[in-house]
Amino acid sequence: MSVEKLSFEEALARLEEKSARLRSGELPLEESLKLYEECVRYHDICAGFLAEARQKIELYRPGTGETEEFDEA
Amino acid sequence: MALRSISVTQLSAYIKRLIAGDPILSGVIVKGEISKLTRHSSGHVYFTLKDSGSRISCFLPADRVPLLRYELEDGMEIIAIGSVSLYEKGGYYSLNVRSVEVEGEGALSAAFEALKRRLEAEGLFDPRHKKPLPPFPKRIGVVTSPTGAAIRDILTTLKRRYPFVDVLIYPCLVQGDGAAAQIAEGIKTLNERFPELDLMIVGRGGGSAEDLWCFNEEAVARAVYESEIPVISAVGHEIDTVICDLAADVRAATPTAAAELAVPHVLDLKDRVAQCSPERLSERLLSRISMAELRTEHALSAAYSAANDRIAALSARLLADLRSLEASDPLAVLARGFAYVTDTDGRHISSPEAAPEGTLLRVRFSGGEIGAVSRGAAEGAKEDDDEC
Repeated sequence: MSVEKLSFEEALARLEEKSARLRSGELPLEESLKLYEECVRYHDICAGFLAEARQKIELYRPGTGETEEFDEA
Repeated sequence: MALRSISVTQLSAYIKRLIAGDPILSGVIVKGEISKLTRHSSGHVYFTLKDSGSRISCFLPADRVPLLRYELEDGMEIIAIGSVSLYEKGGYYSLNVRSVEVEGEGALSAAFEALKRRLEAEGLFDPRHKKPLPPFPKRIGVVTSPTGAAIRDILTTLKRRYPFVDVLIYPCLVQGDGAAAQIAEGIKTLNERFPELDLMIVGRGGGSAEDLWCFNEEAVARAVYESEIPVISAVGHEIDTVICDLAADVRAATPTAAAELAVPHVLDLKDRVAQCSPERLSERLLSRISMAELRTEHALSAAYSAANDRIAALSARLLADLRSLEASDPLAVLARGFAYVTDTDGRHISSPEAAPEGTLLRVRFSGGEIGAVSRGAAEGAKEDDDEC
């Protein structure tokens, strides 16, 4: 799966896992740099997801079996 | 005298007709206490309704049982609605019950406990059956009234905490007759038509015990138990516990609490992501890089100075060797004013005997060489010495 298609959940899990490995400081510097680049990509996905609110509120119509936008007023 | 008789069947049929034709008996609402309740394997339920003065046999047909809003139990005070009819084969009349109402807290709590016991024994509240909630839901179903306080609280909370989740509302009655059937239908419909929902909230805001009762009905409990989509039950306030809560995967004290359990908080997530920001991660990495640079520099300068030391030591040795070579160089001796004497074949003359008179010699100075002839042992020289 390409990195861009990752869900927030997957991106966050990978970000935290790879950051922890990076922080452990046990890897050679070269591998750490590669890991760091991956972390930056996952971080951008996560931060991008959280940056913008987007919500669809719908109401189901038991009669017709259709959904429509819910009027919250 | 021959008496004019009728058959038992004829008499029974007559009484049956009388009872069936009576407008009062065809629709009675009668209050009494249940005793001798029996559930027949056919699904029919038989019991006796009594008060201090008398009793009447009651019959609840199997097809009415699932529609009953209350679990019946011996000792429970109920109001039965139905019609009186004659059971000809048994020779007795009974109340054919269509529906049952319950009044008063005592009776309600008895019905609650009775249903709870039965469903618990059946495993509907088994913790092993409960499903975990997904941590980051994308879409949530809500089975409740679209005009109640619950939906408002839920939507406000979801928007405040996690404004990335979509919501699908299944509108239904949340109190009174027919509410339980609608709630159960909503849970089933969401499962059938929207199986991708990550979870659903089923509930309503606070109200009286009678208002909340539909969430104590068996139909709701079964629909919740059978739901493939995880269910959060959110009925009334903290103090209210209903059967729906017990059958649900998660019980929330209020609709607001249900929304809080359903989604994470955006600020917590931002914090978690910030912990892993490029700035944070690079801090350590940069210090590792400068450490590595420092180490490289140290190693380089150490290697450089080691090489320098070695070169210096070698040059010093070379110089010393040169000096000692110089010291043993015969030419260097010549430079100090000595001469080197050989015969014409280049053999070194080291004594007067090696050069008797007339021997041709070569004498070498630092500036060049000359030919010479030996005059024999140098007595003149001795004389000169003697003179001194």
